[in-house]
Order: sequence, then structure tokens, then C-alpha cells
Amino acid sequence: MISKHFLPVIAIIMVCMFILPGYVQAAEYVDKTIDMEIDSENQDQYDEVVNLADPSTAITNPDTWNPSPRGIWMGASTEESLFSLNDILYENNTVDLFHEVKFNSTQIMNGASVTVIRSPVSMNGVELFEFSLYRLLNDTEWNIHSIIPAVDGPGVHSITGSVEYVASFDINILDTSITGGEDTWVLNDRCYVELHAPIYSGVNYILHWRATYAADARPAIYLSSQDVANDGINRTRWALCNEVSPDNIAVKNYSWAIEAGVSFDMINGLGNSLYAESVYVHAGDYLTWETSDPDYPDDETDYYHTLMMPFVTDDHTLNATVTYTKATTTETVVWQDSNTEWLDYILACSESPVAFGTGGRYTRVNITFNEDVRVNFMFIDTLDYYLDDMATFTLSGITHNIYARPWASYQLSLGDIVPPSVNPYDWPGLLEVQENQKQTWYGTIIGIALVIVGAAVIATGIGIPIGVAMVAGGLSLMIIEDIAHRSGYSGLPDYVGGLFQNAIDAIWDALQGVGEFLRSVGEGIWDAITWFVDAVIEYGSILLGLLIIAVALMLFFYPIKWQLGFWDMVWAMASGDWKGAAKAANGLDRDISKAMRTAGKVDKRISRAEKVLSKKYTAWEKSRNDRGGEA
Amino acid sequence: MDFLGIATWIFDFLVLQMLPLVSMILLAVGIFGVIERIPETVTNFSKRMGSKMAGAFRRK
Repeated sequence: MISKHFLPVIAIIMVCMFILPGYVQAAEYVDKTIDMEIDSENQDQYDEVVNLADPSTAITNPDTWNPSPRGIWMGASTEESLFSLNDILYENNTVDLFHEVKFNSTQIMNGASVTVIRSPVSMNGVELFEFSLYRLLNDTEWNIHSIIPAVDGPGVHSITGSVEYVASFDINILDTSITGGEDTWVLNDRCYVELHAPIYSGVNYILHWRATYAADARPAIYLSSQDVANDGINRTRWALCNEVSPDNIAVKNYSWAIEAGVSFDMINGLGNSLYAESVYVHAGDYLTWETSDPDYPDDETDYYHTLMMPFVTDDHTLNATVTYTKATTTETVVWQDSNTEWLDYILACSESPVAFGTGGRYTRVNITFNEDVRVNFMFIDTLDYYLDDMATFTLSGITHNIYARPWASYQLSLGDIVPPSVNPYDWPGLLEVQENQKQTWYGTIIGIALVIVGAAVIATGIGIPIGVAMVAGGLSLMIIEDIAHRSGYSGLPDYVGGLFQNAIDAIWDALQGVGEFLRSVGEGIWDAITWFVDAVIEYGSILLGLLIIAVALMLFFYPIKWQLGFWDMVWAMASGDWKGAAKAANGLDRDISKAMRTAGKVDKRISRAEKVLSKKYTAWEKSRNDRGGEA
Repeated sequence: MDFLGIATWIFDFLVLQMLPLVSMILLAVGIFGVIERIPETVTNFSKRMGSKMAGAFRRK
């Protein structure tokens, strides 16, 4: 009896033991299932939305980041959906993805300078990958258009509208290191870009991802149903160029009112277009950027080139070398300056003036670091990212681009510029400072007038003693004026007043004046001699010139006069006028006789001078012989 | 050009360039004047000689 009921009871218990837990668990699972309805109005409040579910099991979008976000994170709160096209790609293909975003100031204040961007492109099958960031100008109208080359290549899609580049670069898809390598990495099918460029709030940006896939790949991107930056912009353009055969290029263009699955991690803030980059550099690393020669105010003048660039290090010093090169095919060094201890700022200067056009339009500044140190530089944003608005840190051989201009000043200088230094050797020689004091010259002016009038009186013979007295008086006035100036007085009236200031002072000044007077007399004589020599040098050439002109006029007109007389005589002879001819011949004869007499006089004087010199020489020789005989 | 330079230029211009040129012109004018005068002089001379000779013949 017992066995009759016992076995079925045991069987039922066994069934319950095996089956009921499953039912129980199933019942619990059903109870905990929550159907999440995420509306767009909750799009940026993902904490609140996620809390509706079980936090231990729900997966949020930031959780899928590798590494985890470090700054202000922005993106869809829930995981993005992977969307794949039906198109199978041929060997030559290009797929361009464009999507727009606009941040607001409650999210990123006025902007960010370093931003990690996770691309919405699935990296499965991607062989080449490029990223460009555009800033939309004026309005929000933009579009894309296809560019199909006439010969080779599948073609590409490009953006149209009023835009400008913020950044553009190729991505190394083989780089999987987050901390090492370049500023990009690919992990778990997603590509991350660490962008060093100013990004502002309130500005529309277009992100452009260009991928080239392996043959037979199917392009896929991540999409989100949410508005990523709460900007009200849901616009994604996806376009591909697929070279089915050389004469058949399939172009497809998709336009979706849905957000691409992009997310941002803004890790550095932005000032008003001015921010700092902090980098740990090793000896041999360098910072470089392209620039151009500054404008020369005067092409004929050579100027020194100077570079000033502030920096921050722990001990305020930096061991670095500045090199300015031509950025042409071969980099030729224009100038270089080095310092083991730049203090708070680099102030490099060329060794010598640089001629106009030496550097040219395309030049490059290199700052090579000669020590291992953390250094901070300021960077500033400008409109054009080409040339001036871009710099590159090369750290351990790997380049890291900064899409902003280093805050440095490159200027011209007439002289060599050196940083402040307490080392006298560094101090450039300065001109002696000359005080610009007002002086009166009444005594000198009156003295000059007296000398001139006195000289005229002497020359005309009106009264030689009076003239001599006037000249002497004039010279005395000039000398006393000079003494007054040397003694620190503004002029003779002040000096005379000073003499009577007080008795002792006056005597002392007078004694000083005597000494000064004696010295001034000597200096006056010396000045007069030097003035006379200078005058001879200066005006001698003019006198010589006048003499040359007089001789030239004489040599020109006298022969002409003589020739006219000659032809007068010949014409008279030809006319049979023998009397007239004789008269003209007489005139010629007088001229010739006069010339001959003049020549004779000159010859006589030279002969006399020769005789005198000969006599003197004979006397001197005789006296010398006499002295020799006595000796 | 300083004053001495101007003076030497004047010398060069007047004496070395203008003087030969003016002399050549005077030579040409002089020769022309001689050629112009000689025929009349010779004619007058011939006439005078002719009249002298005619007078002599007439007297004979």
C-alpha cells in the first residue's frame, strides 16, 4: 500500500525538484525584464534612464569606450546600433561618411582643446582611414558631391558649402596602443582619435570619415536613435564610390535624418582661442611649425631675426636649440641659436643680420629640446590651419599634430637681441648718454662778429690797432663762453651772474676759470688749426676746381680767338687786302709775343729758383764737408 | 659728383671735345671764305694787269 502511493509521490517530488526551480527562475526572470522606452526628450539624461533598469546588467554607451572616458563625455546614452549596407565593395572603393554636430556652452563651456572622438565607422574590413573636421561658416547649409576622376580611381565624395578646415589627417589603423604610438588607436572594431584642436561651443562642425575597404567587404557604421549633442541636428550623409569595372563606377549616396554613432570625450578646456599643451619631452624631441619670413620695412637693409616664445617648466628653465630653416625641398639652415638655460621664455636671435629673401615664403621653426622635461607651451587658434595654424611635436620619432599656432613672436630687429642677463659678458655695449641741455651762445656769436669786423678793419687799413683789439676781444669772448659751458653754465650771462654769486665762490670759480682758460687757449688753438686743415681739405677742392675751370676757359677761348685772327688775316690776303692782312698779322704777332714773354718769364723764375736751390745745396754740402774735416 | 668732378668735366668738354670741333668748323668756314674770295681777287688782278697792258700797247 505504502509502495503503491510511495513511488508516485517520490516520482512527483523528483519531478518537482528538477522542474520547479526552472519554472521559479523563469518566473523571476520575467518579473525583472524591463522594456525600456527611451524618448528623445530623455536623450541626455542617461543616468535617469539607465536607473530604470538594473544597473548591474544594463550596458551604457560610455561603458563600451576603451579606455573609459576621462573628461566631459558626450554621446548616445545607450549602445549604438550597427548598420550595414547591402553593397559589396570591389577592390577600388571609397566610402565617405559626413555628419554634423554642434555643442552648446552648458556642455563644454566655451570649448575644448583636446578631444577624443570615437568614430561611428565599423573598422571591419577597413584598409585606409582618414579623418577631417570642418568648421561651418555663416550658415548651416552644406551638401556633398561626388568627384569621379577621368582616368584611375573610384572617386571620392567631398563637402560643399562655406566651410574651412579645422584638422585633416590619415589614421594609422594598425596602431592599437592607447598610450603609445600616434594620437589614434583602433580597438574592438572602433577607431578613436585624440584630436588636438580648438573646438568651440555654438559652432557647427562637420565630421568627415573616409574609408577604403578591402575587396568583398560590406561597409558598416554605428547609428544612434538619440541626438548626440542635443543640438537638434540629425543629419548623416553616407556615400560610396565603387569601381565595379574601370568603365563602371557605381556611386551611391545616402541621406538619413538620424545621428551617426559618434561620441566625444573632451579632456582639455579652451580659453578664448588660447590654451596650453603640456608635453613631456626627451632630449632630441622637437616642436616644429611652418612660417614665412616677416615683412621687411626696407628691402635694402639686413635685419636680425628674433623669436620669442614663452614656456612653463618646473624650474623655469629649458635647454633648447632654435633653428630657422628654409622649408623647401632641402631644409637649409638660415640661422640657429641655442641656450642651455632659457629662462621662462625663449628669446633666440640670429648671429648676424639676415638679407631680404633669405628665408622666403616657406620657412620652418624648429625647437629641439636638449633635456628630458615636462614643458608647457601656449597655442592660439587662427582661421587658416595651413602653415601658421599648425604645429607638430615629434616625440621619440612619432609625430603628434597640434591644429593651432604656437604662441610665439617672430620679429625683425636692427640690433642683436639678447635675453636679460646678469653676466656682464652678455651685456651689449651702450652709447654714452649725452645730456641735452639748453645753452646760450651770445658770447660766441658776438666774438665771431668782432673777429670778422676786426679783420676787415685791419685789411682795409682803417685802424690796425683797433682791428687787432677787436679780434683779440672777440677771441676772448669766445674763450670765456667756452669756459662758461665747460663749467656747467648755460652761457656767458649765466656765467657772469655766477661770478658775482658770492665772493668765495666767485674767486674759486675765477681760479678754476684761469685754469680752464689756459687749457681752453690751447684747445682753442688746436681747434683753430684743425678747423683750418679741415677747411683746406673741404674748400681746397673747390679752389682747385675753380682753377681748372679758369684754365679750361682760357684754353678754349684763346685758341679760338687766335684762329679767328688767323682766318681774318688769310681772308684779307685772299681778298688782296694786304694792309688788312698786315694788321691782322700784327695782332697775331702781339698775341704770340705776349705768350712768348709770359713763357720766358716763367722760365726765368724757374731758372732763378734752380740757381737758389743749387747755391743752397752747395753751401750745405760745403758745410757738411767742413764739419767732416774738423771731425 | 662733387665740385672737382664738375670742373674736370667742364675741362674735358671744352678743351678736349668742343675745341677740336670748333676748330674744324672754323677751318671749314675759313677755307670756304678763301675759295669765295680768290676768284674775285684774281679777276680784279687780271683786269688790272690787262688794263695796264692795254694802256702800254695803246701808248705804243
